[in-house]
Amino acid sequence: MTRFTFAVLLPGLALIALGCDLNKVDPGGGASSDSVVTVRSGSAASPAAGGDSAAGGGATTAAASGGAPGKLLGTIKFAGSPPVLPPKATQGNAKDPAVCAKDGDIPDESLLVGSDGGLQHVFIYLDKEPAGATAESFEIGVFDQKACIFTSHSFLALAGVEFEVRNSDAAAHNVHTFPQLGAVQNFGMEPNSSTTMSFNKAERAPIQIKCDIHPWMEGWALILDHPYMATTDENGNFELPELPGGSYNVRIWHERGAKNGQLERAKVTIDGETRLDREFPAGDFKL
Amino acid sequence: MPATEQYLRNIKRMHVVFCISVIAFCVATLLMLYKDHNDEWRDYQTTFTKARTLKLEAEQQKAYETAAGSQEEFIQEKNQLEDKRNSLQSELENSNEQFQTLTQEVAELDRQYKQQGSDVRFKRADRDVARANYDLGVRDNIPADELEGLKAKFDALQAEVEAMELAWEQKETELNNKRDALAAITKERDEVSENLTKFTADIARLDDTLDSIAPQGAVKRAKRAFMEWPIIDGFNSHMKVVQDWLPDLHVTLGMTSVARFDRCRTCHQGISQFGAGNVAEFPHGEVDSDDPADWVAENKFPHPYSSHPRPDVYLTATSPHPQADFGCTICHDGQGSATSFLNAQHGPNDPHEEHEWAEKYGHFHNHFWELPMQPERLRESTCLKCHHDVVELGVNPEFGATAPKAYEGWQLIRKYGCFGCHEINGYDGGERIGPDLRLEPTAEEAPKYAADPNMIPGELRKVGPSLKHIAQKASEEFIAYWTEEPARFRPTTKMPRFFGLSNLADAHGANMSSVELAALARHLVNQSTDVTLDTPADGYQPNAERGKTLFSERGCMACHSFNDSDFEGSSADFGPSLTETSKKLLPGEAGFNWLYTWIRDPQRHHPRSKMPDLFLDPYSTPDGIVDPAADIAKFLQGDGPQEFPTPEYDDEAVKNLVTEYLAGKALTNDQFQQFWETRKYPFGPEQIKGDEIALVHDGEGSPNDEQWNNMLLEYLGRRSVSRYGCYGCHDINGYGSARPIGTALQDWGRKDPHRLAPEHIHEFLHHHGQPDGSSTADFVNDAVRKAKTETFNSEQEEEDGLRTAFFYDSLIHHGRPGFIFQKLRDPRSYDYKKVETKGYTERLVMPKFPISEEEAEAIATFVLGLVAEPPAPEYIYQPDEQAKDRNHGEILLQKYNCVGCHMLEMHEMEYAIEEGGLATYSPLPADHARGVKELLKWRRPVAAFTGRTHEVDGESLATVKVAGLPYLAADPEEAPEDQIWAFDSWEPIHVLSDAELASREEAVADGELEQILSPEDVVMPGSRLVIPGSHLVSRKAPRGGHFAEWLVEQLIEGRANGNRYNAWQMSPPPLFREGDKVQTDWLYRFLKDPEQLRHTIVLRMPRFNMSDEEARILANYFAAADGSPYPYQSLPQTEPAYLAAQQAEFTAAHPERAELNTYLEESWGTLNEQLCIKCHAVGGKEFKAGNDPNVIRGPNLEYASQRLRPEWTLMWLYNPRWITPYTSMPAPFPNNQQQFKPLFEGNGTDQTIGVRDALMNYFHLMERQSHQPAAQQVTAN
Repeated sequence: MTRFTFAVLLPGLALIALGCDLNKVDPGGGASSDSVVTVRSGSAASPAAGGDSAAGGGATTAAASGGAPGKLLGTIKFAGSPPVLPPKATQGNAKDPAVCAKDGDIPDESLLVGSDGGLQHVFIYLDKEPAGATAESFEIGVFDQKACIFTSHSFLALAGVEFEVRNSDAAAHNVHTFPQLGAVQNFGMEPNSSTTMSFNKAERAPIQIKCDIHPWMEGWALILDHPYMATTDENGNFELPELPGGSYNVRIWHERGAKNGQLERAKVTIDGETRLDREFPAGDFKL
Repeated sequence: MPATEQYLRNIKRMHVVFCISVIAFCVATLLMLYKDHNDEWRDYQTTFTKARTLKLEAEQQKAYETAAGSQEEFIQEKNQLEDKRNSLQSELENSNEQFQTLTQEVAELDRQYKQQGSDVRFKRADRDVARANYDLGVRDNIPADELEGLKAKFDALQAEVEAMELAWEQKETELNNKRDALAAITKERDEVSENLTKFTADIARLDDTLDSIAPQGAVKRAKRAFMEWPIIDGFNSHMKVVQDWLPDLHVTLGMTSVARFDRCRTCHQGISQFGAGNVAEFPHGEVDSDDPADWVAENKFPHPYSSHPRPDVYLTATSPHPQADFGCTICHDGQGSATSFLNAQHGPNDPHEEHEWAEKYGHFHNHFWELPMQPERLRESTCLKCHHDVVELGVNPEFGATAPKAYEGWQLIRKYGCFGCHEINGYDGGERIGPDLRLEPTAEEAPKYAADPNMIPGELRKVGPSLKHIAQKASEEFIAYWTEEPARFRPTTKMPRFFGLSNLADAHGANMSSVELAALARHLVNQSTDVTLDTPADGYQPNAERGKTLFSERGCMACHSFNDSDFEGSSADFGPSLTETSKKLLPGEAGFNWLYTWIRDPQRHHPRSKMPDLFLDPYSTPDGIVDPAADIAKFLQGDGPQEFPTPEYDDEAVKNLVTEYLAGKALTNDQFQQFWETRKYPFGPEQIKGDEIALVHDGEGSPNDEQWNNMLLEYLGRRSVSRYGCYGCHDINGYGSARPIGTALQDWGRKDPHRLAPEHIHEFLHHHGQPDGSSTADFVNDAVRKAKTETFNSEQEEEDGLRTAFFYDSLIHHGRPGFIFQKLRDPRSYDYKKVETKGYTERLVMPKFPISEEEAEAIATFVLGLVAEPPAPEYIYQPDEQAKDRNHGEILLQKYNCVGCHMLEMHEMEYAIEEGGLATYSPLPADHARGVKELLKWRRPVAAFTGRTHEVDGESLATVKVAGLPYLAADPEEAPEDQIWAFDSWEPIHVLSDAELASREEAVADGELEQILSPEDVVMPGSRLVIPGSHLVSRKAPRGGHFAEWLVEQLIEGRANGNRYNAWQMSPPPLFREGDKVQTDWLYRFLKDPEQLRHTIVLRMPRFNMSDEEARILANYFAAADGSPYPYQSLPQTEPAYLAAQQAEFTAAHPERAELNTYLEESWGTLNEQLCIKCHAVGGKEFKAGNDPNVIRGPNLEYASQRLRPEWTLMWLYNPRWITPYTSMPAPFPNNQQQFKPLFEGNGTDQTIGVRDALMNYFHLMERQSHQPAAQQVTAN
């Protein structure tokens, strides 16, 4: 088992990185071979150096208002009683029944609401990288397929950084990504195998990942070039790495959000530990 | 009588008279010379020479700049080089002894060498004489000893020749050696010399040209001026009439046909002047100045000095219409032999232009010249002389649409079915004379054509629906209601209007037309026969809601539209709009069953229907049986039928109409009177041939009132069908042998204008004529005034105004264009004030079609081009086999509306990129390097850079163009700078500039593109391109696939659950480079009888009513369009040589595996591993999916070897996304994984090729497998 740990880069290196165009959206698209990802370190990155990203995705949000640094955390809830979604596949109708759904029906994870209304698998992320921020670390998990379910229904990754993809099943799968800006990937995986992959570009919103062999297998991944992203746990809680004080545009996104997934584009001012709690009514979702 | 000194006249006076006459004659002669010499073309030539000189001087200046920076610097540099060369030369001559010796030696050796060469040739001649003597001796059988002597002579001479040749060769070697030695010494001088030549070459060339038209030297200038003098200019002057003699291109003048002499280039001197790369030397453009210097400065040249547009198509030697072969008037018409503006018969494009020309050149309408030049608006008509298939003028992969208007006219005639009444016979006997637009033979006529091989049948179907079974579908009331004014019931109909037009507006006309309407409806019902109608299974409850979904998904909307808010964005108009269908059907079950049967089996009702069999068969679902045809019928029935009024008519009018048809014609007036009174027709059925048969009562006694009425209506109905020619568009029982009623049009473009009958049209247009009833004459005057004062509000208004003005003017002058335009615009207007003096049945019957004036112009352009005067066969467009299949296929694509569902050309996006901003290919981990190389070799990358630029934020950026499918459209709610497009490219593109490409091509001798390009220069197909909104320059809509795209959006919202790629997989696929993909013979079979191939798709490829020939052409079309070999394809992968090579490679690469399996066994094992079977039926095993409806199932692989081309299959297996970016199919054997060990030891590249070969040998391997004991089977477990 390999884990790719994402470490803080030294301030000097960050400066060099800011000078180059890694974070610029490449108008040509296609696959890019660049796989270095940088995280800016606050002490060295001046606001001026961060202003090179008109094409999007770069660091433009300046820590202007100068509040105290702190974490952004909160709880996302579904207001009212959620609909009961039928399982996506059952032991009766699933393909590859010896492997898939053998321990029970395959649930529909597209709307998982906890007992107190907490909504799971909501993505919370900054739409642009904060200038002058220091991220401690970021760890990309293993993208695993077990009993014909993606073990991480909501997955976080950094552009250009490799991570492990695993097929823990005794059946073949394919991993099919549906990015908007990056290169689409679609490759087969034999039973019980492992390989690595990476996304070549940061995206604007979470993207779908599917297995075409087993049509119910569906997950979402957010690929950014900064680590200020999180997904909610089964109680709807999330926590972003510490941010410098200031105001930020925060996106709250869920796969069933009525407006292409987006639930809200919130303006948040960080002044010490800041909470962002939201409760969205059923009308905000495609149900 | 002695001689005297006296004269008869006063001699002195005589001298004066003589002197005066001499002077007068002299003046007259000079005046004559002057007049003769003062041609207007000389002025044009003088001006052109001036412009050309200025242009050359400008070019020379530029050449100086390119070469050295400026003229002074150039001269300086040139002098330096010359000095250097001279000094080197003198140094050699003066101070290098070796040089002198060598030069002398070389000269001496050269002399000797030449001398020896001459000696050798003489000696060879002697030897040849000896040989000939010997040969003659053999022939004459001379004594052996004499023959021996001759042989000896020959031998001796031969030996001498050989010796001399040897010596000569040695001398040559010696000479060359010395020359090399000399060259070694003079190397430096020679290099300088060469550089000098190179450096001055461009300038020298320009100097030469300039010197020939505008010499610097006084003597030359004087000589040139002298050559322009009268009389002198007869001796090969540079000023002369330029003449193109075209002996094979005849023109009919009066009664005789003569060769063409086109002298147009006498004035249009720049017309065929093109530089390297076929770039116009004198591009056309209007400059607001008469000074050639300004023209040169702006590089725009007015008529007549400019070069012809589109040099790729016209005039250049490499174009299909080289000027030397075609001249001018074959395309432009006009008087080719003329050398003045007036005589050439230029054709003004509108009256305003005509007024201008009248002022400037004294232009006037010359009625005596039959073939004036075509005005610009009708110019394309002449293309039809040679382009008889027409289609290549509108759709042409090489040149694009070169005659879009003529092509549109052709399309409109096909759409509205003009040929139903106006036959356009493209053949005169067996000879092709023009476009052929004729109805296909009816069932009655077919045997005649089959029996006579010289009769060429027409190919077009009637454009209207069959009426042979109409009574099963609609009521008599509806038929009358519909016929009276079709657009009242269905606004989008293409059926023209026959009734209620201006020549039927009087009371008599109105009365008589209501009788005709009632009679037509009665007759159509009477003639109708029944077909068996199907019904859904007993007890089946059709579901309209489900029917609506099925209607939208099963392909109906590829051809039909239906007004419903859920169907927004769909606008198919190939078939009729179905919104109103329910209203016209018979009420209750009768109407439903008709619709149900029609939907399920269109050919039952109309054997030649274009509506295909959509395979709408009942199927079972977990919720029970679904009968899609019944559901759709239920949906279409909507609110049910509408009631239509019973046709009303006047009995008196019935009598009048019958009288008009019968009295004094089939019957005498007396007979008619008697018949009317007794209701008994004076002749028996056996004596009647025509429609009068309907008037014979077949019962006992005389008919009662109802029977009588029915008989009369039936009779009048029959007469009306014949009079209006209804059978030209509809199949009607009993009219199988009827002829088209209208004038044949195949030579209408040459119809004698005196034989046109304009009647009172001038008067009509003076008072009426416009759609709102106002005066056309006033409208035209206003338009001409606006043109003069430049006060049109918009370009559209100007175009519309001047169009009407042109045709009005033409009509007033009895021109064909005006006549046909008005005929299309208001066909009955020629009856203006004529109905008063005409019988009702003599009134004009041409109906009014729902076409715009712009469309009328297009039709006129086409019809005016029908001249039935084909030039010599070598001028007629003769496509090669490939182009022929493409052209005919193009017609079929339209005929069957293939483009309704399938995208044939992808979307195109042009956008600006930052320096180096087009990210080229960098391999994904899964990609095979070998696959990338093979793909680039297989599919030639196209250039991305357009050569154009686009400004973004004040910066000028190069633009690139890519073809493919949009993945994400810019969100209009986003801030403009944040907007982005995501786009999937479908073809490989390279990012080299023209210059870079050229230099690389130079570097590689005979370099194929794939040798020159490396993956770093290429954007692979399937790449995701991200285009900032601000950088987007233009988007080109795709060709075809409107329905597929509409359906995709519907499915994204519905079944595809937001996933665009899945939605595309459920919709009709684009046929992008289909010819590269499938085997021709498979496609042929598939088109004839399409099997179910794709399982993800929500509809099926329907079965079209297509002949074998049509299926063959269409199958060929795709291969021809993509330049793939057809009609036969080989499968080298099944041949022993290939397999042996693969086996050898396999043994070498995987020796341990080779001990266990052969190459094919290993490949078969890979194909049957636990991957392909996940989605495909393969290796005799069924595809297992449980019963999940969302499961994605690929095509049955059993068919691959018959269906797919091997090269395509391999690329697909390397990475399916390179071919179809939206596919679910993963790259099966990624390069960065070692899967399915031990097969090929996990080498993905070898596995990929192996699986392709296993697929191509599928049946062979299946058979072999079935003969092996189970234990030895190689399929993995």
